[in-house]
Amino acid sequence: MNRLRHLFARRRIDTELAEEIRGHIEERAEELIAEGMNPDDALHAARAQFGNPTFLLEESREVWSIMAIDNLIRDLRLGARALRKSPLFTAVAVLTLALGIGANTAIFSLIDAVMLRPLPFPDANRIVMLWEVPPKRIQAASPGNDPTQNTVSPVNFLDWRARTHSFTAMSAMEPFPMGLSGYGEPRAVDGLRVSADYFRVLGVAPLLGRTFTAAEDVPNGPPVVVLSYSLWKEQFGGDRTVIGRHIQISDAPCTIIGVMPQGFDLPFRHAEVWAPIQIQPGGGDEGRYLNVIAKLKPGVTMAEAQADMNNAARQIAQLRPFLSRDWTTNVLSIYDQTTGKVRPALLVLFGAVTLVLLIAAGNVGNLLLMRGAGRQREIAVRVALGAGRARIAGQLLAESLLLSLAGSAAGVGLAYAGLRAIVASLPALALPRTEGLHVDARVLGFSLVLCMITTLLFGLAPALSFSRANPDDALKSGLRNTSRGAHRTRALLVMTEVALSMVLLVGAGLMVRSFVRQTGVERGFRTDRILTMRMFFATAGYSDNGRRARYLEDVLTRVRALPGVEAASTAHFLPMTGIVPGSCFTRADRPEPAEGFAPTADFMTVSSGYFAVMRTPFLAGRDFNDHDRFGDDAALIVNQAFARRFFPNEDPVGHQLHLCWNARHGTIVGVSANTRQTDLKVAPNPTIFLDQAQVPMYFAALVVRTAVPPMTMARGVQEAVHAVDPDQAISDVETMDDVVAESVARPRLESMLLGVFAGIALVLAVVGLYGVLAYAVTQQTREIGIRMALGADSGRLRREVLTRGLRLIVIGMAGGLALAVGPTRYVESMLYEVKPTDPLTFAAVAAALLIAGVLASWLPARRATAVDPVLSLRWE
Amino acid sequence: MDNTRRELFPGALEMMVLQTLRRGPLHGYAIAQQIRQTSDDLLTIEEGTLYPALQRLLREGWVEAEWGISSTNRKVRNYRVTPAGRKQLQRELSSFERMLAGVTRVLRPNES
Repeated sequence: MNRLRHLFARRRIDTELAEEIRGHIEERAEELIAEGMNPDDALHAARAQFGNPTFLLEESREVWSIMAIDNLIRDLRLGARALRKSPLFTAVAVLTLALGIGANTAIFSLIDAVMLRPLPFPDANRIVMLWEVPPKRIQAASPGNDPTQNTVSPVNFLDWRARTHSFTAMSAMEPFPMGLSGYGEPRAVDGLRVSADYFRVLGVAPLLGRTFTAAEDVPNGPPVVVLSYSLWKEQFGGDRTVIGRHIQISDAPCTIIGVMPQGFDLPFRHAEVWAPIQIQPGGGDEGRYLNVIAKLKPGVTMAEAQADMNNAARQIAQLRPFLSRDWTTNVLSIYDQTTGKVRPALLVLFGAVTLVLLIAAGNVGNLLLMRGAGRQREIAVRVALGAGRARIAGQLLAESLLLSLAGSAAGVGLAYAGLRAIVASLPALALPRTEGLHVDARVLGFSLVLCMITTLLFGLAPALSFSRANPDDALKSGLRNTSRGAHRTRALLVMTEVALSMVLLVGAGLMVRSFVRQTGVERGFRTDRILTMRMFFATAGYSDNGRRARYLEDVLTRVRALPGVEAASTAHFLPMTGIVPGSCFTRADRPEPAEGFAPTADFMTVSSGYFAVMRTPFLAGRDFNDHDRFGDDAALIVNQAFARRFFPNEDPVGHQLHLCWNARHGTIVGVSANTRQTDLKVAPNPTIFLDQAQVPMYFAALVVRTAVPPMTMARGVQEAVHAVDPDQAISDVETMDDVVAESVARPRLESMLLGVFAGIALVLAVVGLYGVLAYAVTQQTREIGIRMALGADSGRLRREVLTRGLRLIVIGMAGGLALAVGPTRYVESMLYEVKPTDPLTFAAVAAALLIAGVLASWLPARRATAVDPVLSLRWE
Repeated sequence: MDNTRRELFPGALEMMVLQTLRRGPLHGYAIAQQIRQTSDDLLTIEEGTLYPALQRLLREGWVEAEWGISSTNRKVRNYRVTPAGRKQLQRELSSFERMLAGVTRVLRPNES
């Protein structure tokens, strides 16, 4: 204990002791002066009698020292000095480690933000999403949809709520774009209509005012809204008196009753305004369009909840076979809902950076081995002088620790810069929860642990092997021959590096090929020179369907008249935005199928000219036109997939269909080519197109084909819209190119990151190979010199070095091939139309590695034969 | 350097310091003086070595130190032997005497 206290009070005690010693010498000198000596001589004599104060101070200090800590500090100091003396080695090692640790830190913080951090709701692990699951026959009809997450019918939701008992609260949600006016600039906002229980499910109280009550969440209930914190700040300037104020939401007066606290939002359902959903029980609504969120009762397991839900689903299927025969349910935790789809990608990336770190550690280990070989004499001298093995190993490890620390510091900097670039390159929802992404204490802690592990990885083996060296041998042989064992270790390290980078390169190659396949897929439409924007039609002003249909026609007429516009139309959902509604239908010329067995298809509502704007070819029949009037039976266009499936050997044009949706009748007037709608990866589903003029929706996306760069028309088109209705809220003004690019932002990021990591791995492995060969050549300078002096052929010498390099590469590649089979299987779920054993990728990777290997071997081979025999023999 | 300096066996200096302090607290210089005088200058130590020895004694808790003013009006650190130090001195003295007896017997083999 005394010692520990002393360790911290060291400075004070040193000065005290120095003072004591000075006093001692002075006192002695004064005594000598009193005896008659002159002052100068007296001081001199007193000092001589005392001895060397510095030495004595040092000795006094050592009395207190805790050996281990003092040794560590001394080792670190020694290590720093040794590293400063070889700046090139230090720079290469630190840079290598920085790449490895930086990549790990970046991916870890991504994983931490997206997957590890708890969601900002109390008891978030009890929050679940509830989905319907269609029977197999419907899944087969729409292979592109995720069968485990079908949106929910409102009547089924009401029955779930009434017939289950596993949940404390259950809420429906329906995203609804809204036009906000009556306060500042009119603007489009992301609205979410929810049940009153929504706020109970998430367990968050409002910041101001209140949330709505069950009494308000009834058909024709009062129009009340709750605002998000950010909307309140931006649109209302954070005014606390907004509670009770009236605003216009989609032209209808609404009362603001509450403001939610900052950060209250579902990661996969962004909202700025919440309004009561006010579901009509038994309202004859047969669509499935709701999301449902619920909170498990404490102690209820997921399996119990699932059984409870399926039980309810069976009752519902008997109650309403037409809508729900054979439908089941899916209970999904909110965490799986949020990150389930990105988890495999993040884990693959984490695996990749782990490999990069291993390769980096291997490289630095190799550098240390070579450096250690060069220092064997120094170490031998120290051992001969009595330094303990442990102390030497300790000192070598301290050097490694310094390298790791410097590498970590630089790596964290790299990670920070890299993460900013990643987040900036992504559209908001491509990766959930990235707003919580930053380099913080957790991430730094991770890097520090990583740094320690890395130190042991690359530092331990050299430290042990050199401290074990026999000083006698080392002193005698000097630099000339390092042990065969050390050379084998280095070769093994390089082969491992090659193998690991092969795994990475194959993974990256597969991802890149998959990405190219995905973006190069036949989409059925062109994206160039198309301007898009989203509009929501104020429900109050255009509650009349006919008026709404005419309004949209007016808007289109004005836009089409603009100079620079070639064609314009609308679609209620743009391609590549991930949403397509579906419904069932029956052929009028066939007997009515049993209830619940009607076939299903995707439904799209577009204006006339849509196919022309998108440059989607027509295969038969005609486009919508002015004769397809509101109120008449619907004109229908079907896609090729629909025609093939439901009219395999017939011409569908002229046939009549009954649509379950809105119970409408329609006649097929045309057949369009297939287009990809939800996602580039999803093959076209059978689709029925309806005419916006006949079935007007409450919202639409304008698509405008321009003769000039599309964004230059953005202002003109918006003005044309506002000329018809100055209060029309417009959002998401962007080009179709950007819409498509955003839809593949995540796969692009994944393949890019994997590519970067694989590139780093390749460079590191090649540098490692080069290092080993170059070092071996240097070691053999004398041997080569003798052989050349004896007339050996320089070409043959060169080939020898080359062969040695290639042997390392080829053996490493063979290992990599064996290793790659395992991990690449995990990438399979992320691949689009590329097999994990894609021969082309493997061949390309092998070729790249071979070429890199030849380059890395060529330079040392050249150097070997550039040796001047005379010089080389004198070299020692 | 001091050629007449006698090598002491390890721990001897500490024993002498403890013995000197038994009569009362002293500061470093005074301890050195005392040792020189009592040994009649036979035992000349390099005075500075006193200080590491004092630190060792402090570390073991055998002496305590306290800053004060000396008779010559100088700020000095006074050392005082602790009860544990006294006990240690007893132990050391008896083992020293046993050792001395042994050494004496070896150096004068004729008497045995």
